[in-house]
Formats: sequence, structure tokens, C-alpha cells
Amino acid sequence: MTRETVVQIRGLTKRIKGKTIVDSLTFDVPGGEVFGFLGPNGAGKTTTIRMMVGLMGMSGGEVLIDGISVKKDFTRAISRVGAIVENPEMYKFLTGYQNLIHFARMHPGIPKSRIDEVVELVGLGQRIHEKVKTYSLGMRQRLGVAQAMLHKPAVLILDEPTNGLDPAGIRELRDYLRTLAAKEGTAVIVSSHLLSEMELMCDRVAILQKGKLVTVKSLKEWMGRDAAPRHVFEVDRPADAAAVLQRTMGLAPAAIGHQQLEVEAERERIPGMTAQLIAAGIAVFGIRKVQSTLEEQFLAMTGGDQVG
Amino acid sequence: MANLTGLIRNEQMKIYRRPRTWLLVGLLIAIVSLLFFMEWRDRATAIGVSDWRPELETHIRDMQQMLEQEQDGLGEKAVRNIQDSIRESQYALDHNINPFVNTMWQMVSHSANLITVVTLFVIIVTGDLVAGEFAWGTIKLLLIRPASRSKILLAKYAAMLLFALFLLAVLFVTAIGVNGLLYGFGPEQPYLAVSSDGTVTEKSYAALALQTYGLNSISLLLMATFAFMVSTVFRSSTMAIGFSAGLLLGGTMIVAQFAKYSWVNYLLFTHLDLRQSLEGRPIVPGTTIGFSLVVMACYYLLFLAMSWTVFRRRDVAA
Repeated sequence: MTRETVVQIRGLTKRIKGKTIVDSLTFDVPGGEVFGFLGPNGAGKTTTIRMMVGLMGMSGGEVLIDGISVKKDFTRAISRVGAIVENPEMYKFLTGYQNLIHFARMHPGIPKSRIDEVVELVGLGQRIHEKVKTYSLGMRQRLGVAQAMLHKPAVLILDEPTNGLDPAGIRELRDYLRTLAAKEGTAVIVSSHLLSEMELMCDRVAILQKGKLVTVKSLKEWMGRDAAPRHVFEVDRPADAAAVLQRTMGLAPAAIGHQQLEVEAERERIPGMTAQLIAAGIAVFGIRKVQSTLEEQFLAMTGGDQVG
Repeated sequence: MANLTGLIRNEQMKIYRRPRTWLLVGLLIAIVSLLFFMEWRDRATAIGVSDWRPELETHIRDMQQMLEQEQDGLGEKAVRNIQDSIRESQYALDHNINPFVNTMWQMVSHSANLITVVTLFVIIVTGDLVAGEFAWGTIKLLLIRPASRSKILLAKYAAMLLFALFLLAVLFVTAIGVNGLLYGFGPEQPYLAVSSDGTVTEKSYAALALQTYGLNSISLLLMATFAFMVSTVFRSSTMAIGFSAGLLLGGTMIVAQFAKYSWVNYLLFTHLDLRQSLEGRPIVPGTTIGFSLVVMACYYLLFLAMSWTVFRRRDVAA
């Protein structure tokens, strides 16, 4: 990822009636990256996105799109942003095509050919000339993507885009977003409360909880760590056991719990480790491999208090 | 960035692509046609055309008798009305103008009273202009564009004004068409106006029609702007339509109820009907046209300021 930074978020904060909803977020998103915004419901994802697109005012901090401040130079900054905030709600009494004309008129210099191009892109075909009230949720989602892409934005922001989509629809959207990021160099920011969807879609994921940024991780990095399996030793004195393994085999403990010691180690080293523990007079009751998925790590990180 | 014409065209599209709008237009045409048809039917049976002179002479005698017999029982206003009526009839006799003849333009000038219906329909459409975007959730897609919120609101307001003009044109054209068919598109008859000093002058009904349309449109403008403000501030089309329609129909009653208090003079409804001041009979005595205009201008600016301030600042949540 040597591409230019498209989105810069600096100390972004939102307070409503003395309550801090979003607490000094800072992160960058480069072009060509699909960036996931993950957190339980109520973590402040939607509020953050609404501030990024100017729907809500900021209590503090700044959002820069291509270096232009959303707060100070709204129209110039927002002309580089395409977004769907929550559900893609359109004018139901208009046809899909009329909806696109409506939004195209709000951006300078979008030719008619571009409208046809995005219709082609999202594959709505002839149904674009039917009223939106006859559309299924999946079709509305596609129309939503179409309106967001009309002006070839530098960053595409999608809030909970998979809400209400069936698995096929999710897969289609995922492929589409990946292609878009790779081919056009668009920065894509996607929010979700479901990690399983983000795993397959994103390059990097920011975890948000109670308005604070818990961590920003590249998924490759995350998966990479997953490759070294973890093992739990059930022992009588976990602290002593950790010291023994550290001294004899140079292994740092990953976690120490009640009568439990978690170590990151290859399968081949287990017999050696066991021998060392027994030699040191520690009682070993059992050894098992931890099936660590991202979902578990995510839950562990966010304290597991998922609201919904 | 985004140009205003494009934004206005968008708002127009959102008004005229809704079937509801055309239902209202159809309803307006139907109401106007029906009312004038019924009036035509009623008048046709009332008075014959040939014997209008004796009819008018009787009328003058009756009025004079009433003045002599009940001078003390009548109020100042009633006495003046009767005197005006006598002068008008006498003028008609002297100049051989048959006042019982109805012409197309006379009826068209009456159609200005139906601007209340236009106002009601404009209020219904206006109620949705801003509140609708919030209700449909489309506000989130509308405001994330390279167009300032002020400009978007201006486009909506302009679309509202254009729709009001359109309905006024529909009313005017329908009135001409229907009454032309009923009374003939023939020659015009002068309209007799009695000024406050008692002189009678001949005026044209067409000019009267345009003047009344103009005056009533001021009230239309204020009520529509009021609905626009409620729609913007409360984001509820029901409230916008309910409040505005309620005030439109009940406003003058409220004023009449509190007419004895001096603060009534600062209410919008005391001034909405400019014709009263123009003819020298305002609801609250002593009100001049200038004062009415100033009060209305203040309310108008207040409505606009409220709409723009709230719309520009609001956080769009949920």
C-alpha cells in the first residue's frame, strides 16, 4: 500500500448533551483500500460516518478528504465523496433512472453517458426505468451504489451496506467493492457490526467501541497471527509454569488465567514443553488447541458486550 | 458548484412526478367549474334581463325607506353600506348599465376568492417539501452533495413559489374557460366602484380581477411560507399542513374574537386581507395599508429566517 492517503481523520469527536458519542478518533485511509469500520451497535460508527459526510456537526477534530477539510470547505470536500448512509433510501415515486438524474444534477458536469455507465456497472438493466417502489431491497442497494458512484468519488462510504442483503447479494457487493478499490484506486470505507462479513471484504479493520478506537489492524497481519496456533495448558500453578517455559524454551506466555496458561507454539514443540513442566514439578491436567477465530478476538477485544 | 437551476428542476420533478399533485390540480379545476356552474344556474332563474330598470328603482326606494325608518337602529357601517348601494344603483340607472347582467370577467374577478382553495393546496404540497425528505430518509442523500444547505432550501422555496404560480394560473384559466362558456366571451361590462367619499367610478372587471388576484396572492405567499417554515422546523408534514390550514380557515375568527385588544394589531391575520384596508373598512379600525404591509413583511422575514437558520444548523440523525 504505497498509495496516497485519501481520508484523514484527526481527533474526531462528537458530544451530544455532555455525552461523548465519538471520542477523538484518528486514522487514515489510502486510495485502493477497503477499510472496515467495526463495532457493536451503538459504538458510534454511524455518528462517525455522518460527521464525515457533513450530516452532523463535529464537536472537535477534523476530517480531510484529499486534504480538503469537510468542516471548512464542505462543497469541495464532499464532491469527492460518494456515500450511502444506512439504508439506500430513494424517491419511491420516481424511477431508478429519474433518481439518478436527480443526484447527477447536484454534481457539476456529469454527462448522461455516465448515468448509463453506472447503470451498466451495477447491472440494473431495463428495470432502471421502473419506479423504485417496485424494487427489491437488493435492487435498491444497487441503485444506492450507483448514485454514490455517479461522480467518480475518491472515497466511497457505505454504512452497514449488507443490512438486509441475502448471502448472494453480499457476495456480489463484496466482489464489486474489491474490484472498485483495485481498478479505480477508490478508497472504500465500510461499516458493519458483523466481523464475518468484514473478514472477506476488507484490507484493514478499525475496531470501535463506546466511541473509542480500540485498534486498527490489517487483516493479513491478523490472519498471520492466527497461523501460529495457541495452546492452553491446564496446570496447577500457571504463573510458575509460564516462568519455566520462558526460561527453558524462550516462550512468552500469551495469557495466564485461572489454572490456565496460554502459549503460542507450533504443534511439534508440545511434547518438549510438557516434559519441561513435569520436570519442574508442575501438575499438567490437560492440553488443548485454541480455535482462535477473528470473531473471538473481536469479542475479546470489545469485551464481548455486543448489544445487538 | 451545483447550480441553482438544476436544484430547482430537481424539486420541480419531485412535485410534478407525484400523482398526488395532479389529483390536487384536478380537484381545483373540478371545484372551480362546479361552483361557477351552480352560481350560473342560480342566477339564471333569479331576474329577467328586460325588466331591470323598475327592479333597480324599487331597490333604491326600499333602501331609502330603510334609512329613514330605522336610522337609529342601524350602525354606522350599515348606514354607509346602504348609502353606497343607493349611489351605485342610481349611477347604473343614469348611465344605462344593467347591473344584473353577468359577464365572464365579472365572474373571473369573483374567482379571486377561490385563492383560499389554491392556498390550501399549496400548503399541502409545501408541507412535504422538507419534511418529506426526512420522512423518506432521502435527506441523507440530498445533503451529501456539493450544494450548500442554504441553496438546497432556496431551490425548494423557489419550487414552492412556482407551484403556487402554476395553481393560480390554473384557477385563472379555468375561471375564464368555464365562465366564458356559461356567459359568453362577449363584451365587457364596467364595474361600479364606490369610493369612501361617495363618488361612483366605472372600472374594468378584468383590471379588478387582476388586482384582487394580486392582493389575495400576498396572503397566499405568507401562508405558504408559514407552512414551509413549519415543514422545515418541525420536519412534520402533518404539522405543517394542520397548523397552516387551521390558521388559514380560523385565523380571521381568532382576530374577530380578540378585536378589542390592541395587540391584535400585531397579529398576521389582522392584515392578511388587504382589500379591507384598501376599501377603507379594516377589521381593526384605523389600520392603514402601509402598517399592514410592514407587519406582513416582518412576519415574512421571520418565517424565512427561522427556516434557514434551523435547516442550516441541524444535525441529521436517525
